[in-house]
Amino acid sequence: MFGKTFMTLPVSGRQVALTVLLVCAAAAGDIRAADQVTRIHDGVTLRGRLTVLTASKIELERSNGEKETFRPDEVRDVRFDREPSVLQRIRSNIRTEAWETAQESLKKAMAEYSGGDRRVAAEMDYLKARILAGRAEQSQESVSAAVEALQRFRTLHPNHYRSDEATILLAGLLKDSDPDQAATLLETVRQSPSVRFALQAGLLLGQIDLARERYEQAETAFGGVIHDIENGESGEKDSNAARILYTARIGQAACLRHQNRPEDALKQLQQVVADVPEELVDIAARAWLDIGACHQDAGRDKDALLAFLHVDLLYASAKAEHAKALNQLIELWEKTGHPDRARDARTRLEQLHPDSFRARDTAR
Amino acid sequence: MEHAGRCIVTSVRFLLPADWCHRTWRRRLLLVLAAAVSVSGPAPAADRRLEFLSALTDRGYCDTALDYLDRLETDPSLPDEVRTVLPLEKANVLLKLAETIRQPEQRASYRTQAEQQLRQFLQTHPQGHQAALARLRLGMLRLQAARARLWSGEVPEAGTDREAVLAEIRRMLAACRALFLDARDGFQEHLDTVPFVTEDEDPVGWEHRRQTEARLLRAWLSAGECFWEEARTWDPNAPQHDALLSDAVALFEEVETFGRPAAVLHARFMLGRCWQEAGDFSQALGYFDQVRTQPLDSVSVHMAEYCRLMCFNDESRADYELVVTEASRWLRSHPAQEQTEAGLGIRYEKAVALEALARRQPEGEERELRLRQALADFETVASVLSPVQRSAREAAERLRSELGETQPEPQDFDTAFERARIVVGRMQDVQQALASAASDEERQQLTERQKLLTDEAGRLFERALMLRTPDSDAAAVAQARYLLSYVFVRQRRPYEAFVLARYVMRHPAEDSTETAEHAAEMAIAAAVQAWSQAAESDRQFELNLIREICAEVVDRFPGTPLSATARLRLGRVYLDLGQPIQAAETFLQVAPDEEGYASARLEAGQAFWRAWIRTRSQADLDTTEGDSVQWKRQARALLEEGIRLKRDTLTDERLPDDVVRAEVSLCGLLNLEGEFQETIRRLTQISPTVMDAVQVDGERPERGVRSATFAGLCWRTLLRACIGARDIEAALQAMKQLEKLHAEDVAVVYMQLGRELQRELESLKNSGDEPRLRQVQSSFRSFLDQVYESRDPDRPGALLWIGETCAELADQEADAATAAELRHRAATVFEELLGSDPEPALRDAVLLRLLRMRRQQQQFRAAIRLAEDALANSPQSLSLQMEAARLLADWGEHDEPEYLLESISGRPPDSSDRTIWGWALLARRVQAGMRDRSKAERLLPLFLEARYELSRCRLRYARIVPETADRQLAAAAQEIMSLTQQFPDFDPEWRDRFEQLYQEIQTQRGQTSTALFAPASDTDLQNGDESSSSRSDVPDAAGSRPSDRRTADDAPAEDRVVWVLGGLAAGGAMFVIAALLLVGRRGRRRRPVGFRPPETFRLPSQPSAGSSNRSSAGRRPPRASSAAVRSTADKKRSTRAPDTKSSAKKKRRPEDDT
Repeated sequence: MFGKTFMTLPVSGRQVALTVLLVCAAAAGDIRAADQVTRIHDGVTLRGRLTVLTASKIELERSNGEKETFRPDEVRDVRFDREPSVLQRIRSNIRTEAWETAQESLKKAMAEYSGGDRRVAAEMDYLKARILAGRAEQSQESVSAAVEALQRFRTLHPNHYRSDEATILLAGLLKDSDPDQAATLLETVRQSPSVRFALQAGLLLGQIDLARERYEQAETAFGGVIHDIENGESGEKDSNAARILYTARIGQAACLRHQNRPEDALKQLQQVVADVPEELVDIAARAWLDIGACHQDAGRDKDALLAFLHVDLLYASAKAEHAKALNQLIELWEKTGHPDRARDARTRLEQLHPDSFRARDTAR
Repeated sequence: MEHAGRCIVTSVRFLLPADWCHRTWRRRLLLVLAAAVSVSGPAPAADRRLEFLSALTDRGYCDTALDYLDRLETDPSLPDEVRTVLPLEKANVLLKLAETIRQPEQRASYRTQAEQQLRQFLQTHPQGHQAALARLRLGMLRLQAARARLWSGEVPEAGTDREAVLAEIRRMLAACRALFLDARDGFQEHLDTVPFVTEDEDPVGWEHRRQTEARLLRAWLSAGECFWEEARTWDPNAPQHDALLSDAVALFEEVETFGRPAAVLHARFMLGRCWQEAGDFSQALGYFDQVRTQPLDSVSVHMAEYCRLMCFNDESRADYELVVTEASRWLRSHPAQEQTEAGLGIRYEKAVALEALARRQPEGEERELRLRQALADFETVASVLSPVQRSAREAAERLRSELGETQPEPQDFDTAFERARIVVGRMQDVQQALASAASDEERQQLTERQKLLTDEAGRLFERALMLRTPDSDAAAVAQARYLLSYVFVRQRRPYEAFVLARYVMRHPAEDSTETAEHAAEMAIAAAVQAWSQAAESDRQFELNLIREICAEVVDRFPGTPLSATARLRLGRVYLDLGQPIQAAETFLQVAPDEEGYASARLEAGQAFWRAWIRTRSQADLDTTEGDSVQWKRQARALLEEGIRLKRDTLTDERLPDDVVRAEVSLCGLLNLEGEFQETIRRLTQISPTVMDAVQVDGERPERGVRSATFAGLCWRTLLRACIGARDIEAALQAMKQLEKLHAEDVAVVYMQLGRELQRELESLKNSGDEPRLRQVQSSFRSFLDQVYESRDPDRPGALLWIGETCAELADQEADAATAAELRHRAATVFEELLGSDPEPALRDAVLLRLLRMRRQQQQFRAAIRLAEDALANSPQSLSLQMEAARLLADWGEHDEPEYLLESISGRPPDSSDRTIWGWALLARRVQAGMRDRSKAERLLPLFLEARYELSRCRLRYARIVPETADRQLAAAAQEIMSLTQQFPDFDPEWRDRFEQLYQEIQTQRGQTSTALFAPASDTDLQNGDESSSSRSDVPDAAGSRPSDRRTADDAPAEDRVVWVLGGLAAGGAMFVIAALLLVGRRGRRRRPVGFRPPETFRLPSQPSAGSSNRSSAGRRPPRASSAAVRSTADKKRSTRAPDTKSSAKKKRRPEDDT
């Protein structure tokens, strides 16, 4: 019927009708534009068209014309319209640290992608670098490849919304081999409007200083992070900020300990274990490990024993920390006259953390 | 923010009941409240000090836990609620520590410290839940102390000292009782404040409630035990004795009314003890039987067994034989319990009974044997601390002195050895007497005597070996060891027997090689006994033992009968293990010149035959066709050889059993080969014949070649041969013999014949042996023709066999007309059978077969009528229901498709009361039946069959009626999917069937077929919908899928109107539904699961001794002492009428109003 009606129109009328149709189609195409942004704090995904995507700002125009603005650190994922569907799965693999699977999938996706969306290409570059960095962190393999990938990404996409993240990852990889460069990189992120990245950078700076035995500088760095969290915008509203906060406090305590203020360090750490949220198991375990170390420094073996037992009995799910605790317990049980318990700790270390057990044996 | 949270928590704490500080609850509350303060932030830290303490204790680091407690006490930052419970925690740790300490003094010290802590806690916190727990623990400690004083022999036998000590113990018990009753009240009060929750609603709360209920019952039971213990400190004639027992009974009866099985079990056990103490053994035994027959491995169950035997041992009953028998049986079947209070008690009672039985005997060997047995048991009991240790010690001393006077114990090896050998001689005499025993009673007595002699022989041999010196005769010592190993085998102590026998075998004394050989045989026997005693799933060690000893015997004694015996034994073990080829290879190792060679050939032939049969009955991918043929050939050759060798050396008129078995196996093989005449010759013409061997005039034994089962096998083998040889007369005779043999279950015999024919035909079909197949079919048909024409309606068995055989032949028949004719015959015969009014079991079997025939003949209408008539009488018959559903399905496929739907949903349709259930209802009902675990295994195949057919009917319907195909196929697919989720562990056969059906459904739906059971692969995730509105289904780190999360703009603008309108409509509907649900819920408040005291529940007030009463309604007249118990309980009950005016507490709960 439409066809009949259309054909009854004069030519000019048909042209107008066609134009209208085309415009509508275009508009409909616009309406159906499906870039997506997922917020961190509530997991909500918003759809629309990305109009701004820079290192300091992300803007999404919704289908009703409204614009939503985000900081890069507020956003968990950005999905681009018509990006390969596998990318979302790769992002998920990254979050669950399934590096190999992610790498395989990304390799295939990159080989097959023929779309012209530069954003997608940049995203893939980032994901590649991210995966390499993850692998390097996990197993110390191919650190140089990861460094190279991250540097390349930063060079090619200096104003990308993932730039700060990439910089932090790069600094993390360089902190042992080239702490100066790492610190320089982190200083730039420390000034970023993305609060969370700035905090992470601050934390990492503190850890680098701590590793370099620059305790005062480290204490200042950690103090700065703590101050920003306690007085700033993010508060304790999410577990990421809480993690950073308590990690910084533990770092501060480490500084105190190395500045021959063990009692102050102990007090700080005890406050951490009293305050740390239940779900930050590894943080609590780390704090207890440091408490144990403080007591060991002071020659208080029994107190140290109790501290490490906290990790063994209450926080065994934090594997790396549990292994360390068991290592200490083996020695302490022997020292305090319980060889059977020392043997038990040794057996459990061997069974639960064979890599640590082997490392211990090799070190001996 | 944290500070605010803590302030709120602190203030809320004052609103809660005081001392309500269960640590898990506290931690949860802190979490919940603090989380409420910080609205969307992470949960704050909770105090985990008590959790750490508990973890230290559970790990066994009690000393470290005590150290930690000391630190906590001086920790200024410790919250008050934690500080409050420190003494309680310390007491807990001290008690745990005491459990791990062996030194009694140290243990007592820790218990004393625990007691101090508990008292300290109660002084400062006398009220509340924690106080109740402290009282319970304190009460348990004090009760333990009181019992220790009672058991330890501290109470003098007589005199004023005795009264003083008893008075003190009574005071202790009364104090314990008060503690327990207060604890009980405290727990009850606490429970009244704690809401009822289900496990799903609040697992922590539910667990807390459960734990509190358990503690309440524990306190209750312990209070009752205090009454009982105290009663026992009084003379049975004292008024306090009965009064206290009455109070105990009242408490235990209260506990009996609760729904806690463990508590009820213990309460019943204690009720039994109360009645036992009161002297009413009938009542006591009633309770003990209730408890001891529970299929549980619990202390109460074992103690009930012990107390029961005590009752039987009482002078008033004097059932000593029963005690000895039951005690011996129990001790044999509960070796792990031997050292427990119950085990020692049972052994003690056994010894008492043995002594009593001995005293009944005149002076002589029998009496002495029993007394010595009793002495051995008393000595065993006296060596372990228990309530009966002192009594056992005294009894042992007494008997030792008595027996020492009549026959002193041997003091040297020779004397002991000689005495032991005399006893062994007597054992052999008894063994011979047993073989010719005329009655069961005589057999029983001889068996008991044999047991006594065996135990005495063992005791004497052990004594002899203990007394041996280097000068003792080596041959005698070897023989002593060997004979002792023999005794151990008789006592079913195979490991000890094995060790001794093997030693003797390996270390033969000079001039005693015979002993070494006997010992070798004994070692093999012991190893085999050990193997048979071991659990089926854990026999490898014992099998290795047999292998090793057999190999060693063969090595040490080559060419002797022993080496053949060894191989034969080992071969039989392999057969039992289901390894016939290994068995055969072992048997074949027996050399021709060895004794037992003929038996070995027979056994090897049987083994190869068994291996061949197994390949026919189950798919064995490791067996080639060549192997299978080879085994059959070898079986034949070896059987023939073995039979020939055995027959050549026959001395008896009757065939030995192994030859009979071998002949029958060989004839089975010959039948398969078609050598029917040879079978007939072997079974009936070679004298002595097999058929004569299985002939019995009187009652047949249950097992062996003369049993009905084996004789039936012989006749069936002969019948088959006669049919094959077309000797109809002989075949009919064989059939008659079979019917005579199994007169009570003729139907079973003929159905078995039918199954054997089916197996034979299938086997021939599978093997592709067409000529043989046709030959068998032809021979059966000719036989059937004759039998059918001359069929006798008074021989239902034969008719059934004719029908079965016609049906089987029809199934295998390729020619349609012939098959139809056979089915017609089968149906005719079945109808005749039904018309002859057979027994119910036979009628049902025939009816099923007739229905099947009619279905195959496509006479659906008549068949359905028949099925409906039958189901009107037996609606619950699953097999009939299934056959009826199949009928409807086939009818639907053949004729009217609507019948397929009736096959699914039942008939008549649209009726709530269906005669034919249909597959859907059938599946539901069978599934409901499977909730009974005893039936689940049997019903599972039926359930799966019903579900399979349900979905298959939908598929069949969809193929015929394409208009509704989608719906039916979708339903079928969904049914199969939900079934696989419900029952993920299918066996392979069902798995394949459902998989295939699922694939067919998918194909019919035009879908790409995907596996039903294979795990999802990554490609499934990657190949998700790539449309713009699609989302990947991979969860993010938080665990939610993108598709689970809200999206602000879920639809394009132009669809929004539709969504809004639809939403309004849906919302309106939801509102209505919600309203209905809410109304419904008000009237039907969900009753929480958990501990629910009875509506008339009231705590009994503290009873005073001498004033308790009970109702004796419905009980038999009691003995004099127990009458006092009941009558005083009577009075007590009537003064405590359960009404609201009483001062007892009864808290009303909201649920009481609904």
